[in-house]
Amino acid sequence: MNIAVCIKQVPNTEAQVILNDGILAFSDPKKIINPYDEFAIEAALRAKEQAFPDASVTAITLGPESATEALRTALAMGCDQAIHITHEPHPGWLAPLTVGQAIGAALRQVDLVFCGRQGIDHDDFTVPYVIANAHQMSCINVVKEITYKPEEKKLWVVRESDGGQKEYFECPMPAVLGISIGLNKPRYPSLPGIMKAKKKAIESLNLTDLVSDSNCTWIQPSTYELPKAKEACKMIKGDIAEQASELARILKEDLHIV
Amino acid sequence: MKILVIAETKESKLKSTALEMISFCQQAKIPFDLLTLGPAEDAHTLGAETCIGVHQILSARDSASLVAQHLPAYTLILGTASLAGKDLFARVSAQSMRHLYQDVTQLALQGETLTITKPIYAGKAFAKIEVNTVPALVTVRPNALGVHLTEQENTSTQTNKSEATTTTDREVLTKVEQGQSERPDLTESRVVISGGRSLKNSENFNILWQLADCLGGTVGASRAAVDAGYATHAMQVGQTGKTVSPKVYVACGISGAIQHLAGMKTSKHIIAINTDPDAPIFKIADYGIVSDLFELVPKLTEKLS
Repeated sequence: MNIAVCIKQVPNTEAQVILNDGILAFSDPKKIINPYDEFAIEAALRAKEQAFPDASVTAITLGPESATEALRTALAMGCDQAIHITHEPHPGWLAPLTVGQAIGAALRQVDLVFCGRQGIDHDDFTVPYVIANAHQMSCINVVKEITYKPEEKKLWVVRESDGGQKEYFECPMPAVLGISIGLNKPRYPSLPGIMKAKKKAIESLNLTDLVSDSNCTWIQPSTYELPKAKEACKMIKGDIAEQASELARILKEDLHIV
Repeated sequence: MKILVIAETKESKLKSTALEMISFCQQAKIPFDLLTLGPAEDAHTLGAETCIGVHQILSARDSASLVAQHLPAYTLILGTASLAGKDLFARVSAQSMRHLYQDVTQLALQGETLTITKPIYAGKAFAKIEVNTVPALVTVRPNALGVHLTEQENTSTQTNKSEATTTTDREVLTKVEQGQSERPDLTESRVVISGGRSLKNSENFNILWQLADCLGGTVGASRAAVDAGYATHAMQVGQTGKTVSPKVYVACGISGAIQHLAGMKTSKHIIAINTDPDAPIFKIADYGIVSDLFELVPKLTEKLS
């Protein structure tokens, strides 16, 4: 029984984007694990603890050298081993189809795959589906609840859709689940966990060994832009009653919203 | 050159997101077909050459197979960047191995070259990308293109019913529970009233709901308010929540953390209400009021009703 969890290193959410001569940079160089992926790691560990005690949990990432830190954190949280798919540096980013194909090829035998619902960098929302397609697996994204039926090789899954709609699925394994915030409470790595993680194996694979050159697509934007600077905010003065009247007038007459 | 628009419907009417995509095709003078995956096969033509409907309600997996089947006839397949739309398009992309660009805010199609603009880092920056791999799949962020229809019903539109196959060997939808309300969805609403941690508890969000109802809008929340348990994660606006671009966004007691601003910066008009005149939210607001939201918001609701 093999469980995998796909993680990605992304810029800190509190970092500001800076544009220098058309090159994108961040006000804070610190990188974090994609916040959705922390919930995916926790879900993978709980699947093992609660339903599949014999399972082995593999954390997998595709990214630069620094992404090893994200894998070490996943190992410290309790994952058993890790795979790091490395690639040559590139100014753009890999198309989600390519990422999904690479991860799909790296995961040879797998019964359950957990991913964050999307990366907070490009919000593509696509990689889980591509992995699922590579192995003819079930796929459900934006998962809010999971119940395991190990003896039937099935899961009961609740997905959130638009307007707070809840969709209930009966889902045969193997399956890929895209995890949303709020499914669980991700654990912190313990000190013994951190010590053990240093000894756990990280297998290194190269992108070019997993995806053929003709299938490897990089997204290279022609330009980047920052959001347009706003004109100075118009402050509405006066006492509360005057402020409320003026704002009501703006909503009605200027913005035509009423 | 032809576009296939995948239209979402609600109560047998095309959603405004579909009208936005139709407006785009009309303005660019590119012929298009319309595929509705709604429960009723409503003949909403609006200038489409062909209207494709389906007999039965399909699972996301089967809907994706249907779209993938039609895909080779088009240069571009357009859909909505809603949770349902992104799910559908990701399935089509995986099945057909065609590249997908989600949550696009601007697009132009010239010959075989598609140019898209896509927010990255939740809108902290925008990337302009030239796409040469057609047919391409694109989902468009609600409210990004705007509705400006130039034609009404096209009498020469043909209506086709597509035969869809159904599969049941993988995930099966067993039950659907509708969300709470007749209120608009957060990502599609024209008006969003958001509250921060200074709302102090979940009951106090009622004053925001009252204002939202009076403006036909809905309520959002900052991550701080969600983390404190005053609002649900489904209401969270920001980099790890929802990205919204309504016509009017009213930030009540929200200081303006970078990750929150990322999720609402593209709103057309931003109104900020905060007791702290130095709050960063005022830097990106169009209108600012330094005032106590507990006094101001009910008064505003009263003036508007």
